[in-house]
Amino acid sequence: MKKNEVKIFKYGTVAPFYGLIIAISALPSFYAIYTAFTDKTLFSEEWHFIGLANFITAFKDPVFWLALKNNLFYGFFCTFFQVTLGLGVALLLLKPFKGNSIGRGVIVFPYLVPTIVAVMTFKWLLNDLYGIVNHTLLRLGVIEQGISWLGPSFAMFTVILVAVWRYLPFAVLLFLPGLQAIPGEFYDAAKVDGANSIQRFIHVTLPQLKHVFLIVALLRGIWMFNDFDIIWLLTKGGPVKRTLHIPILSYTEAFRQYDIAQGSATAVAGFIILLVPIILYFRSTRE
Amino acid sequence: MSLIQKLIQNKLIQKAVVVFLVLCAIGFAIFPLLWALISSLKPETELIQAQLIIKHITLEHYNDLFGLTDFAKFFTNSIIVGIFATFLCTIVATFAAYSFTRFTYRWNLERLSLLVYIVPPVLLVIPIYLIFQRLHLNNSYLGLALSHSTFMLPFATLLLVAYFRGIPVELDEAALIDGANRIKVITNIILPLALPGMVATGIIVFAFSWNDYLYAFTLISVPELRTIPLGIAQFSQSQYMEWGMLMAAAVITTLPMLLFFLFIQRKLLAGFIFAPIVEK
Repeated sequence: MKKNEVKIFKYGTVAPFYGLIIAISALPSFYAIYTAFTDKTLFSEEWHFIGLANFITAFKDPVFWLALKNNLFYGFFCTFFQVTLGLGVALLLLKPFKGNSIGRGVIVFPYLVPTIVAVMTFKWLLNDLYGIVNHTLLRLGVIEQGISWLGPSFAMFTVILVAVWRYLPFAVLLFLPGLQAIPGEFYDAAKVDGANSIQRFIHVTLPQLKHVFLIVALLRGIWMFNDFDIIWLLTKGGPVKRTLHIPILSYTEAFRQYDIAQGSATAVAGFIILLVPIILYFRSTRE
Repeated sequence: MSLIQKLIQNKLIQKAVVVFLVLCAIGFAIFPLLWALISSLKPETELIQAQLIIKHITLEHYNDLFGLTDFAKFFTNSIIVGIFATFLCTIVATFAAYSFTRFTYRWNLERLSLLVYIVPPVLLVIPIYLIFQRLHLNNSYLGLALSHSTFMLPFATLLLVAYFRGIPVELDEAALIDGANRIKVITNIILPLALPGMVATGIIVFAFSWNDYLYAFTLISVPELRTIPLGIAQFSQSQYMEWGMLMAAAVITTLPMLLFFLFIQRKLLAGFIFAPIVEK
């Protein structure tokens, strides 16, 4: 085949890929960042460059800092529980005994459930009046009054619970092959040296799993800090802003207050403050 | 103290503890879904008693769901958008993955994909809304399918690159020497071999599209074009919530995902889906 033809083929096959990425991801990202420096509203025909004004507005607004704090809390605990419980469940399912293959299949279920279904199911489970959780707790005498799971004191707990339930399988599914890949001889050698199971976990499992562990934590971290659907569908950021975080604040500003520019600025600021340090940290541990 | 140590070292007790913990994990994973299924089959009077056992199984909530609401319409909309997105992503990703594994490039695809992952969806949805408004793509199947590709296209390509690496380049070269052109090589040799990977990739794209709430919520404002997540969210906001019907909708929405998963599991493609994330 002629050299020219090869070239046409080489670039022709990736052109749609790059074309789409540029059109629907790259350009919009830059557009959003640019918008953050303007005074654009949802309906404005023309808009102006106003520098850092939107960012200054955001930083002066206590609601922004509240959303940042909630975002940090939600993102951290979701990731923490998904990674630690995920590792725990993966270790359990690794043990060879009957029924564990069923366990491995079943444990994936929550990850297959669309977010809206997870949210509605939990709303029903945790319903103040008719929910089975309150019902059972009342019957057992643990509580005397039904708990308002989406009320001010429990809302944050509930959104984290749903997020952990929904995304725990992701961590388990990534940890399982990682654990299986650790050679059995390592454990045998440690056993010969007299290491008990906890010591073997610390000195063999964890170092061998480091790479997978970091990837799971990084991906879950990024996705949980950015997650919009679960909180929006459960509480819309309420009650009294208890679960308001950066994505919801940004969305509300852009599409409820029609202030596209402020919404973009909030999202960009949140991204820089929350995610850039995480990414830099992971890059440094990788090298 | 020594008694406790003996108990801990007892193999039978160790095993019992492990089995107990596994059962707890499985229970935590499936109970909410099981409860949704049970609730969807209960008549209204039993629903509020929160009992595990159903006394009279009824399909009334399913009848109501399809008879009284627009759920069938939402379902069709979700399928149409999902199929659009699936074909778009899988086809574009297949060509790109072929190219990435057969030719050498200066740019690193992996980094590019990671960049798309870290952009907050909320940040991306704002400009996409504005751009699609200009192009009259808001309130259209195509627009929504395109928006779903933002996240899924790099992921689909990453998956297929891993799959194509498993197909030896020597196959192409042999066919090229025999006089076949590149297009023939792809259609006659590569595609049949890559088909299982493409199907699994397509299913993942479909599942993402099926799950999406944020883009649909932002880009779709016409009731006729609502997808399932928008529809269910709307049910739950109406004056009196019918929990039985909501749970019926939840069960039906989950069903296709379960079937897809069983299919992938059977074809042993489940491991392949996570391979590119972990490798390197």
